[in-house]
Amino acid sequence: MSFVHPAFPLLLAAVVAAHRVVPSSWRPTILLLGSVLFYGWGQPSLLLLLFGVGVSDWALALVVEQAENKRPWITLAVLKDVGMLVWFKFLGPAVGLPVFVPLGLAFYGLQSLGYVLDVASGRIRARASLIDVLQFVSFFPQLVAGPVERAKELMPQLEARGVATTQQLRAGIVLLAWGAFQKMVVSDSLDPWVDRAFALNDPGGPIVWAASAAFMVQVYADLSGYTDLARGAALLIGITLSKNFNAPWRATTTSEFWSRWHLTVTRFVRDHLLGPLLGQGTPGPLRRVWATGMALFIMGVWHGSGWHFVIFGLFHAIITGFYTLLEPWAPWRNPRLRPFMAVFYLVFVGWVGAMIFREPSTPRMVGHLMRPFWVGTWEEVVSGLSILGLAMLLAVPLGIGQLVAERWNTNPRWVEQSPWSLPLQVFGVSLMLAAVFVMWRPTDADFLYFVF
Amino acid sequence: MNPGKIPQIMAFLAPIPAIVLVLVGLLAPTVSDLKADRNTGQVLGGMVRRNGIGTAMDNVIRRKLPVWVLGNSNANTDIDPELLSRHLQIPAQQIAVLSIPNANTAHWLAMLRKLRGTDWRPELVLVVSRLQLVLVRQPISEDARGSLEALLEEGDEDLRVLANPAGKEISKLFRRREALRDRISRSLRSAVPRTLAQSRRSDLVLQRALSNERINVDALGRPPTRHLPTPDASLVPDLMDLVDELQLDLVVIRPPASPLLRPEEADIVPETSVARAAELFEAHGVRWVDMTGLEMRPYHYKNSDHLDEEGAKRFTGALISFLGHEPRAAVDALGGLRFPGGTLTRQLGEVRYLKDPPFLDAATPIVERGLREQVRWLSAPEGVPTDVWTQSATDLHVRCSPTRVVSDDITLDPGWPCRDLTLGTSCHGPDRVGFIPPRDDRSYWHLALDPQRSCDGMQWMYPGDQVEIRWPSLEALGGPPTHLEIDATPVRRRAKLRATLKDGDEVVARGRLAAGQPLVLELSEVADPTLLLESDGFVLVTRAELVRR
Repeated sequence: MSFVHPAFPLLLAAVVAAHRVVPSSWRPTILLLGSVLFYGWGQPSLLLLLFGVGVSDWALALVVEQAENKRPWITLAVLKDVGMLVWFKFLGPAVGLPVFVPLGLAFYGLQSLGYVLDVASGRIRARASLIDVLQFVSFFPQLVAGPVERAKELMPQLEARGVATTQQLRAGIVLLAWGAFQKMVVSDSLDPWVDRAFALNDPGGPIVWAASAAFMVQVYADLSGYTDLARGAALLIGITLSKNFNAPWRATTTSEFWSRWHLTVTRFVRDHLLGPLLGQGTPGPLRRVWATGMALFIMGVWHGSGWHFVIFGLFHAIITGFYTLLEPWAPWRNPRLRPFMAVFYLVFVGWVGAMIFREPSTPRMVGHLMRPFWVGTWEEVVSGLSILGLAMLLAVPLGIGQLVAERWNTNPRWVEQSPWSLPLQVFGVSLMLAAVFVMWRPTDADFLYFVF
Repeated sequence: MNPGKIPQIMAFLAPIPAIVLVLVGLLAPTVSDLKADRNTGQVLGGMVRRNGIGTAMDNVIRRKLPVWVLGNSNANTDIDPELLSRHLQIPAQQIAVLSIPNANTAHWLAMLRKLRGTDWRPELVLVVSRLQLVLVRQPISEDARGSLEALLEEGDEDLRVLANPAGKEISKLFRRREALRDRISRSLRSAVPRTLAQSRRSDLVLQRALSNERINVDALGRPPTRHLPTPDASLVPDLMDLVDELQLDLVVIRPPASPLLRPEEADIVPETSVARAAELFEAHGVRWVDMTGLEMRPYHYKNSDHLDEEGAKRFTGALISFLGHEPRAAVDALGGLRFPGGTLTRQLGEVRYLKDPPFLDAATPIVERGLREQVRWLSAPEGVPTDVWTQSATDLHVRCSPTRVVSDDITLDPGWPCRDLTLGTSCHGPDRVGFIPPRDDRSYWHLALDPQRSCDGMQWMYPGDQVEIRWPSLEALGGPPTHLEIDATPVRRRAKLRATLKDGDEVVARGRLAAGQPLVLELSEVADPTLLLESDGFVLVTRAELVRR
């Protein structure tokens, strides 16, 4: 099921209500039941895979905790979880089998593997209760598109079996409305135009570059919207999920971008991949270039089997290499130059990267990249302006949302204690819901990150 | 009052602005709403009938106009009455275009039921409509409900229920929501180009730039199918019963798919429903013409879904070729328009040209500064047909001159109207060829002849050309053909077309095309027919059919 499915609000309301009224010992069962309905909706066979992953990692974590030599068990867990992903995304299609990538596998696979790795490194204890592990792996708000949670952060919250406080309920409702706004108003309004522009047989520079810029807004609104819906839904159950975005288009370097964009996946890669690649002690610049580049390349490939994801990963790896080698002179560290460096990064890395990420055909991608955005017919210029203008106008509320979130984060006490925060929140939520009501369109378009 | 309560009261009142905004947006009528409200139940054939469309229909029956064209606004824009009247050999005034905005089968039932009280019947009734509107039971808009109400008489209680269904207000609200959403989206899309490029038509420009013709539609995936009743659950059976009762000659026409529409806006109907609807029509002797296969170009449309004058000529021409087509066993060798089972398709024989197209000398460029500076003009070579000639010489008024502008080995897209030229396209005036070079702005260009020689399902033959035609399977005809018929139009009268029929390597018949007459060759006892055509000038072969007489 998707968050934009008409049945989702009913499911969420039923789970929240049941979770609040049943005794605390029943709460894990309620959450598990909610996850079964959410994930098994329309395709119950996928539950076998989900719970197969959960059960096997529950057993592996117990074994790895006791084992003297943990390496074989860690290898087994990595081979199992990563191997499954590699099979569904790469090997299956490569050998011509009609396999499809099960919804959310790239997310819950990572989270489940992270649990075993955390147990192996001693960050947390292995759980004897299968139910506890299963509800961690299958927690439905973040099951299919993240955020990818660390076991030591999510598991204790789930095991506490509490219910949402009033503050959490309020914040949850605000996040749900904001997430729905980002997805249904911003992302879905751009979706048809970006899709059509990239499906053009021979798109002119103004159109394809405008569509690439629009895609930057669209993909951010889509994934950020999904994350906020997930965080809002979890808050209604009394669970706080990690933030996944922090103004990514303000980044001045690739490393900074990945610490602002989809940062729970970045955190997973940093915890479990970059650390081992960097090795012990202080790494030299070349080793840092290699390790960071490798990690970014793997993050690119994690998105899928298309060559464009490989190129996207390589592109980010190369750019990171340059930034790492330029570190001694680092103009982006100069606060005065920071805005210019952010614009430079946005244009030369963000914009180009969005083009690479969006265009699955390599020859077409090269063709697009070679096209100057200013060369085209009057018709192409006007069309490009239409698409770009739409994206810019729709980005305005995203910017306002970012400012409000920063204000909220820097002064949470005002939000909690000021008597005026409630009317302001109600006003904001009602405006966002009104916009969702008006702008919602029936579409088969799911969240973009569902395919990963 | 306790001041501490104010924030709580404000929290209670906070949703009101949002609710008011939405309600104002939904309920406040726009200028077009007011116009539609004023004209509800009064628009017929694109004209406002102040006495109401019910009275107007009574007048049409009283005047005994023999040809009726029913449908929604497509019927008004897509049919060219002049062209149709010439084919039917009646004055154009005898054709009653009875279109109603957003009409569906309920309207056509109500209109045709008015014939029950008379013993006169129209000779031919054409319904031009998307299949979705044929199948949907309830009117799809407020003005369409009003129109239906205006048409109803005593005894039409089944249709009155459709005009005033339960939940009408809720569905009206949701329709207004969609209209408001589209208005907001359009304003957002137009805001920047309107400000920066002073373009008032930016939305249409965007639609054209991203039209289906220019995109790989498959890359977008299949759009969702709207919820539609099956043909058996629709009003089609009622319409068929009425056709039987009144013994009408009815033709239901599904217009061509507009390349300007986004896939989700197109006439999407499940294949099973299309097949079942065709079965129902056939069972009641109703002719069903699915013209979604008729290729249309963006410049054929004056907006996203309605044809302009040139588009209407093409559509009406194709329709006439259906109306005039006698059902008979035939294989169309050259791929002309055919309607087997009511569906427009093309059947190609195996056509092989034995010579390369002749070289066309490069014309002297006349670089003119037109409205847009990029347009260049070349003088058209003597004797080579231009689009202006093909438009006058073909039934569908197609632009399919064999002339191509080649710019450093890149052949520019031909057949555009000169007013719509864009980068990499070319157009024809009566004596010259205009084009805008492709994106890389090459400086060398010349004219050449199209090596494919195709012309909208017909074939060109160039001076000195030889073409061999074989037929894939004669068994598919259900019986051996007895004759071969060829129709062709020479560009100049003195151009000759010679035909040689062979059975294997043995020549069995020869013939020569006479002006205005099809060339007919007898096929008796020919086991493996091969046709060789030779021309000494530009000739457009419009038909080559194997037929059984």
